[in-house]
Amino acid sequence: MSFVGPVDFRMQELAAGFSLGDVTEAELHEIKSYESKIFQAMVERFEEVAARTFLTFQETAPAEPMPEELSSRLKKMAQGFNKKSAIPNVAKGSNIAPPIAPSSIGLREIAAWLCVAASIALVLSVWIPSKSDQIVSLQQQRDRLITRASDLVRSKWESTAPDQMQGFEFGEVVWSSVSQQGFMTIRGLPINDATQEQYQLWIIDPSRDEKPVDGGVFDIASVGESIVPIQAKLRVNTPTVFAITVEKPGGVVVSDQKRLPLLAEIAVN
Amino acid sequence: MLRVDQSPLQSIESVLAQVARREPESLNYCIERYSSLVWSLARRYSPSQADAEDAVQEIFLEIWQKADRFNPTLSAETTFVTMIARRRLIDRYRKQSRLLETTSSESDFDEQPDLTGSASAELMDEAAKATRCLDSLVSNQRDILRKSIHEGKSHSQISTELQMPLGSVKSFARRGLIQLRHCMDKFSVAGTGIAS
Repeated sequence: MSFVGPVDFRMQELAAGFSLGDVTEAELHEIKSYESKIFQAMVERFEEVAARTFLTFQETAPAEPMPEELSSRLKKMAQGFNKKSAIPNVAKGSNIAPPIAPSSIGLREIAAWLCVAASIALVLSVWIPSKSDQIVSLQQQRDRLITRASDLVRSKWESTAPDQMQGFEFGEVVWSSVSQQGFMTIRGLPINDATQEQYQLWIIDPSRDEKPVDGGVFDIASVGESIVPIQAKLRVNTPTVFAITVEKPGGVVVSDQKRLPLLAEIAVN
Repeated sequence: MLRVDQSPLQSIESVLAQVARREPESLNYCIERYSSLVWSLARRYSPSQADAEDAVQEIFLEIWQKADRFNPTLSAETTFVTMIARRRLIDRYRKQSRLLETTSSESDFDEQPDLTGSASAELMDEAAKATRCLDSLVSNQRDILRKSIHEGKSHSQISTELQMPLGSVKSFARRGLIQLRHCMDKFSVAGTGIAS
């Protein structure tokens, strides 16, 4: 992989630090001054170097067989994953991601290759131990993100049927592209029966490739405010719209958008 | 030596391609082949066994999800899997660091595992490509990178352990990695093409 333009040594240092999990808040801010795609490519290259380095050290390390109980759990999880995930549009024998489609693509088409992970939130929910602990933790995580992320974007949810829901507040979405972390606060969405249908988040980021990123499948389990972490399956650089659809359990490969209750648009400066 | 289990019916190059096609049993093959590698990584980068187990589940889900992006002409599967695992573990570490005031290095793992198992040819090949580059580093850089990348220690932990200023540890680690990258480029070690 080669980098576009002159290679800035400071940029290399930051990318190396990022790939080692060692950058300060100030450095995260500094990273914003670099063109994100070039920086990401550089980080990716360093991640690869680190992976090869790990393998080199691992060559002489003791074997560490995974505990049998964990292996069994993974295999059960695999069964659930296979049942709930649809086959993406990948040709047999191909290892290359599908090509990017023209810019006129809509939500129906653009979701086709994204959604393998749509069932992940459902599958993962099996392993989440304590819901009350998690809510506290999510609240703390969200507060910290809002406090610390200098690149935070936020927008209030709007109903797609505003005439019927005038004056109602549904909550908001917050997102930081630097930390690739975000949260939804949601009020007023009906409690769903996860065996019948689930909510699915989509993130539209035209700066990437104009295909919405799967933001994860989630449930509304109680009346009142829910905090839902965004589980973006691909890197999101400049989100412009967050959209929630109602889909079958595990999510869908192609959304028909028949039920799209909430949207949040990010104002473009 | 790292043990990589392998089904006798499974060719070594094709697991991720089969996962991408959702072929029957492919996920189980994937688990069997990479369980030891992923567990080794998770153990080192996680503060507790429970956290490591959670991380392993997330990592395998991500591997299955991104299997269709693996391009065998650009890298070995082990490198692809290791990249995904490290990225996920570092993300988890970053999130935990934001929540925790302390960065304790204490681990609740009981003991080191036994020296068992056999080497994978693919792993050996991958490792061989980097060995010469690692040998070119000064010993401080190599030691710090070993502790950071292989043992999963934070730079502040390494600083305490080596009684070296934190700034020096960061500098050695970053510049060591940069030097490794240049060296691997020189030896024409290809990139992976993996996307975030």
